[in-house]
Amino acid sequence: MDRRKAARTITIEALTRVEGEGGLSVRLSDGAIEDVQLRIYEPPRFFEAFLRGRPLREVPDIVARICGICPVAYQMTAVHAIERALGAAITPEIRRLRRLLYCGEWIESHGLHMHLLHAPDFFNLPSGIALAEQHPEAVTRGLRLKKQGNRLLEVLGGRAIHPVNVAVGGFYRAPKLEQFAELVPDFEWGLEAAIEATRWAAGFTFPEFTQNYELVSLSHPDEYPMNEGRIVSSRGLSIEVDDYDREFAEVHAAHSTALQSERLPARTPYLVGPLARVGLNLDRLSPKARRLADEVGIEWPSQNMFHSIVARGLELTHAFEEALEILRAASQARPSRVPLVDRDGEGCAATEAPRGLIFHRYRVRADGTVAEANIIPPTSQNQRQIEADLRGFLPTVLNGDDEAAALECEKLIRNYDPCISCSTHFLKLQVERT
Amino acid sequence: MRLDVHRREAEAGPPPSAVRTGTLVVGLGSPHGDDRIGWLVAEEIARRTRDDVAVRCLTLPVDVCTEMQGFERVVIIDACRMSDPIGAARRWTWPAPEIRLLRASGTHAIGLPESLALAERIGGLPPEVVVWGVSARNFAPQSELAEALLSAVPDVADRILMQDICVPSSGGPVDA
Repeated sequence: MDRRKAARTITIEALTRVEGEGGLSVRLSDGAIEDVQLRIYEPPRFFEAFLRGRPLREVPDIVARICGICPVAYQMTAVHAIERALGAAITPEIRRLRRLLYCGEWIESHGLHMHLLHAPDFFNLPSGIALAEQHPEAVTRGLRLKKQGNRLLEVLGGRAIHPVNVAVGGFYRAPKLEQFAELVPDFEWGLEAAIEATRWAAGFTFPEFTQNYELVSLSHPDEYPMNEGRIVSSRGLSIEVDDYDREFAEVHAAHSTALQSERLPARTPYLVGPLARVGLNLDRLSPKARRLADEVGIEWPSQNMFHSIVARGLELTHAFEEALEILRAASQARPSRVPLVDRDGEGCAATEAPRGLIFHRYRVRADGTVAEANIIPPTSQNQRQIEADLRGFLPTVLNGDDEAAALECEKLIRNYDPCISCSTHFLKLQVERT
Repeated sequence: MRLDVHRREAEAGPPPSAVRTGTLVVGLGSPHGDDRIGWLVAEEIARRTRDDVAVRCLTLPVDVCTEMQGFERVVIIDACRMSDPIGAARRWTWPAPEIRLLRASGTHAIGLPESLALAERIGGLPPEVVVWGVSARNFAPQSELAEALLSAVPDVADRILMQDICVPSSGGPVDA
């Protein structure tokens, strides 16, 4: 019997090695794909509503709870947006320390995803534990890399999960510079290990699957984007962050409790994350990461999402190199935070979370409370692009059995390192064939 | 309550290649409610032992993998949902099914059993791994530790010291 025409249902009960839970439904008719829905079915988390009426100084600690993997992204975006609403300007020292904190988050997130969550796919292995059996040295390296990121978050943020030292205006407590010096030898190891990890990932066999992505990220004239810049795209977009709402919109999809983002006016999907950042900011990678990008044999910007593991390796290398530079040259940030004057105001900011661009907008009141908040995480921005990828990818795997097709779809989705908990949560694959 | 994390080696610990001996005590936990119990018991043990017992307070189970390499024995203390009265402690030795089959609760589903299995594969598992679970109920963010758990800290530390670290129960610092 021709399997392409037979009635079949393929189900993944839960997508593994991603943060959060969700499902995927694929409807086929006579072998053709009629519909693909990435179903995010966990209840909404209402963080934006929680923030209304709360003191604005509590915002960094509240939004950090959105995610245990990328709390710094939420904190950084929130403090920049609120400072803009208040008209506050931070010092260059605070700005450098914020970049250092972001380096810590990129290191722990990319180190973990590359080695324990994503790499097993390229060996057709079911888990990081199975990979550890065959490649213990690689998994050990991943664990050590991740640990360096966590240590940096502890030193600068007070603790690795949900850091407590980030304040609107700066940091509650200035870091101890002697602790920075202690980190340097391990970060020197980390830089070399990140380069080794990137070369390792570049040696994987990648499926030939390219899409015509609109790559979107921040772009800064002098540095690799983290905390600020213009929003640019591979199709010529270049806007101030203030104009985000003019070019991007969030829409409800009946099958998802997370809002999906699309580009205006054509209502098309777009891609955020390491592949987009590297593609749009190649010349602003740190020197070693830049040389490595040329060495790995991939033409940048890449339109193959399976190359995202290499892009993550380049950013891991960049993060170690930039962190080392800041750690070695750090001077005491005094004051550790700038004074704030409460007022009525509105401000927005975009920063680069490990998984891609994140946008926050706040309206604040003169009594020091939040009147309104809007938070747009990277995974909800990528959600429609994931669905579009699956539409293009499924025909290449549907000739296999259902289980194999489901596994290949999972691999495709893991390219995105989706954080479903952030977007409101995530994966079951269900294919209906009639 | 302020928690002091006791670390008796440099923050990073020695490189993985270094040969270490002795016992490592790991308190697993977070600042949220009863989840602090692992840290508190580990700190109590740190106060009562000499420098040949290394003590760490960690949040992520996966970090245990890199911390315990080279030790002869690791003793892990963590809060545990179980039917026992709050503050009651149970002891298991890896790879007891009670530990292996625990539902993962760490990020990306890398909980304690997965982390110990991972350490086993990368050759980082000490010959003896003991896990103490302390019965706890409330893990809500920013909530307080239950009084019953706070009062159980000395007793749980006593039992661990007696059974796994071979230090006489004294209620005070050894070698004072």
